Amino acid sequence: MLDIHIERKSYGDSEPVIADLHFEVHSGEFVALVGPSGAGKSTLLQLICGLDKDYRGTVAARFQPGVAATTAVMFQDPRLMPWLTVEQNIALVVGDSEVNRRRAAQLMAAVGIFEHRYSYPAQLSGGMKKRVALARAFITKPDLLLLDEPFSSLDQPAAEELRQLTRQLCTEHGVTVLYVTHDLPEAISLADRVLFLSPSPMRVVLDKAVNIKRPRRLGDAAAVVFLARLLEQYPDILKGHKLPTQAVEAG
Amino acid sequence: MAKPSDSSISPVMRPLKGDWFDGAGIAARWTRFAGKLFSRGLSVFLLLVVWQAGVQIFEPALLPAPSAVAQLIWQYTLDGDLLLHLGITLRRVALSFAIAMLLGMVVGLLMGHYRRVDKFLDGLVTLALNLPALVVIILCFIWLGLNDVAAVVAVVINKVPNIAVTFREGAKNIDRDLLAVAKAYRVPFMRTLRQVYLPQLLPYFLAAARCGLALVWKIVLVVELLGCSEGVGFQLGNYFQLFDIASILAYTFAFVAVVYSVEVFVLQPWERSVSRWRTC
Repeated sequence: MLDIHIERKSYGDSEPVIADLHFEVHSGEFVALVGPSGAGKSTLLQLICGLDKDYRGTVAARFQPGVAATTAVMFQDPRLMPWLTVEQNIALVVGDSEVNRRRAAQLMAAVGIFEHRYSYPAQLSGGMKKRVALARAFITKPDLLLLDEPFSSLDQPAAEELRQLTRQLCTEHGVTVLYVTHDLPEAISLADRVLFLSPSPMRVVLDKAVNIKRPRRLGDAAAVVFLARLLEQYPDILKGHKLPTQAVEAG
Repeated sequence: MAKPSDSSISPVMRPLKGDWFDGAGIAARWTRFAGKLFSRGLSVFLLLVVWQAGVQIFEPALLPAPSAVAQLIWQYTLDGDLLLHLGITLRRVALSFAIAMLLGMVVGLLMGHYRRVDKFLDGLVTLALNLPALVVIILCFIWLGLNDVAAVVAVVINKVPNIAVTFREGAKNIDRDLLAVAKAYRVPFMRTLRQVYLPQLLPYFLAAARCGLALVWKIVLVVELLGCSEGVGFQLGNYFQLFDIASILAYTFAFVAVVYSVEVFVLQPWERSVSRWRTC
């Protein structure tokens, strides 16, 4: 389980970006964090994956008793090393052993980039690069996968393929996912639960379970109806406007 | 399973090992290399032809023919003089170059990564960049005596600021996002250094090395001319006293040939090999 409790995160003496943010993510759950741009969602992911340790609070990730949780991240841009081949980029995070090479080959086949294993990132399209980043994330056998709007810069068909692929791999490997986005329809098509966040400081204003049967796709009738009802009930939720306490629902 | 939808992918590269080690690959690379060498050497060859023809037609008193210079190079090589002095100068160049690269790299990286160090050393580096090489050489000989240590120190002081400035820019241009990937995935330090950090510095290292080599040997010759009793610079001084232009050119061309060989056979192939991903 991932237990987040950020009391305060600020840059210097400025107003806090995050204050009194508390939520939990259960093992195997796919949770989307939805909030307006600039709310501090990416900052939160940086705190969780240890890139930023300058905050007050706790981030506790416990998925297997007595074993430290492994966290993988997919950033907004693929962040591949341009001088390494696809295969080397994937092996970078685990080391170049025979076992890892075999596992990398399996993952490259799973995400559809095996035939490009000796290519450099500059030779790949945007969608392919994201697939490499996805394979790199899964080679670490992560307990927790952090997704920072990884589908945002892709065209619609490529984004949909990658969404389905990501969801499929997460289900197969039983990975817990925390997924940051400002795209609510996308969040509904992927997540088991959506947490709506307010800006300045970032707090959870609504915790909504998405009880739509799978497989789901963006634009499915059930998802569209769910979205319409949600926006009817909370018209300003995407602006991150704080709701009255009564509006906060249990997940 | 989802299949890639992108059709804009460039042709797949062949495996590196197969491409690099098979017989056809080696032959193709040598052919390419010989072709490049020929096209580069053509202008030098034409210069030599024009020079030879000019000397034969106009018979200038102060310019020996290239054939005469080549004859002298051969003669001095057989005597052993050329190789002795060339060896001594090359040793000084190699030593000064290595020390200057190491020091310049450390200073430059510290300046690039730590703003306080940058602010503290910036004035000193700017001052050193504008210090005339000749002044440094003379002062080193006065303070340290007419010896090898003074010669090497003088060259190092002259070269370190240039290298430091290059590496400072390299350190400032390190992509933090790529380092963040290594940190987020807890990649061990040495692997991060080897596969994430150093490849980003490599273009700056190569620029500093090529520019450094070109500058260091010129300074070494001046140092030897002013205060050493052996080396190519010392020999050039002697032949200058004797007004022996053919010998001056013989020593100069022999030395330039060695430095040019380092550039063509070591630095350039290395650069091509490590920058292959840029040309894909």
